[in-house]
Amino acid sequence: MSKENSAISKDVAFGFLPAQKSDRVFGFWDLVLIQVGIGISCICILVGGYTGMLLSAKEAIASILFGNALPFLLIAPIILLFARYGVDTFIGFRSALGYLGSNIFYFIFMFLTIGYMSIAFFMAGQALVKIASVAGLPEFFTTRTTGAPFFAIIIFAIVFLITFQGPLVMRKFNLIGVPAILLMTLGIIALLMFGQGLDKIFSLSPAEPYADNTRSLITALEINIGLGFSWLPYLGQYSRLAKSEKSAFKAGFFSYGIIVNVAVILGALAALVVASLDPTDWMFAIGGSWVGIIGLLLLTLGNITAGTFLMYSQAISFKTVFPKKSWTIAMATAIPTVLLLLSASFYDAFGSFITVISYIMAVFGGIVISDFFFVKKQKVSIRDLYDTNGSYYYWRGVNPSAIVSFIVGTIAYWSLYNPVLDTSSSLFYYISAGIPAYFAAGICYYISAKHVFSYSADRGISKSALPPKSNDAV
Amino acid sequence: MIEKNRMSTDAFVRNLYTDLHDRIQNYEKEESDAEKIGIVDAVPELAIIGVISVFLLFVIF
Repeated sequence: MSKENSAISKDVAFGFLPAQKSDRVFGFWDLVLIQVGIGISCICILVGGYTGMLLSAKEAIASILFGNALPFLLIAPIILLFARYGVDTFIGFRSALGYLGSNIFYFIFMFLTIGYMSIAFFMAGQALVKIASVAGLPEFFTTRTTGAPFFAIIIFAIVFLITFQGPLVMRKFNLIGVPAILLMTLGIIALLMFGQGLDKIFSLSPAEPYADNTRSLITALEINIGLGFSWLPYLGQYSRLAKSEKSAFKAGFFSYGIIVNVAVILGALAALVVASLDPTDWMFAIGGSWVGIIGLLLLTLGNITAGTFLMYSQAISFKTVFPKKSWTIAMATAIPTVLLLLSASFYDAFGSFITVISYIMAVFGGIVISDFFFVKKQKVSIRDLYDTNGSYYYWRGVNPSAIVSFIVGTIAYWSLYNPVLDTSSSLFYYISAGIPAYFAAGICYYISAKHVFSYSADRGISKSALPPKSNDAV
Repeated sequence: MIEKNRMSTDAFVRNLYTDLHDRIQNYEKEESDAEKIGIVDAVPELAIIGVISVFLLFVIF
């Protein structure tokens, strides 16, 4: 076995097995540093860009802080499941969703990750188009419709090669990439603070608000709520390695709920100044020619790093869910990303994408919180989490209560807000959509698991303690 | 299923599930290694949400 394959196998075993005492090495600050490093990405900056196109600086800051912190606090308690039992997200969620249900949730996570990767790669492609224009390259490379997909697909191929070689090569690359995105973030903050001045920024009006300011505010809030809920599938990765439940919970809240907002706010302020939501437009406008080129190179490096993290995370999670499948098949799950890089359509529809994610993750968040805290009363069987014929088999591997709750949460969300058509009901102006969908799914799950599809697992009885076929719903 | 995989002909799967079996037994004997959290520990986070909510209301009205 090569050194790379051995490292991948180690990572698979490490991700699949429940953490033991010697694996629990992370304290509060370790977790904050890792999670902030992962969390601060082009996605946060782009969400900020959308917010800054709709709201003034003061309104943008308030809606970013609230829109990210509250949804995150609503899903953060599930960190206790991962910290207590030392399991990763897709194994931990088996108690609520069932074995097959949790695998289906993995494919939703895959859809999310492919979306994120295509945003990162296309943004890097656009950055290289701008550099190509400065370098005087032929029109094919300097036009958005041809150059950006061309560079984005090349970047995809580079990231694929880096990630395919496993964690040893990836970690070496990250030593350059993570500082690049941090340097770019700090650089833009400095240019905005000292080049523009806070007084000027706070007096600016947004470039593309709705006719009604309340609609601008609630739409911007919903986009940020989407980002807040979107961390759900990533919560198990590091929380399970925490020394204590308290440090895992607090580090999760401060990293994803509070600190990453620095990048979102930065995006909003830059969009206000430049009147464009695209980070590749900001560099020359804020920094001038040379600083602009350096900024675009750092942005490209940062997006390549984000891409390697996302691609590896997707492939290693695939191996955790399906440990018998080969690494090549796991890596092949990233290939559909290329389809989204062929044109700017998906990149330009990022606002709709993040709100669709908001709806899906809000509904799943309500289900898993309701299951772990109110139905299972914080007690799950670690043996049954791994034994795929165990208590969490439910009905054909899926928990009917989760299906019903997903349908109810979907109806709640889409009747309040349609993220694809950007149309809303009058109630959306007062309560938004993601947070009500979370509560609708959670309450429905509780009622269903307690009174409609109540399985032995929901009543605190492990299947191994029962005679055969006694796991049927009552 | 765990027992079946412990007998697998694939060495990686066999070792993985044997290790899993041992770790599950340890969990069942000693429960979790991680220190538990109490509801009082979440008070600062709830206070932060309260402050942010007041700030949002102040900006809106």
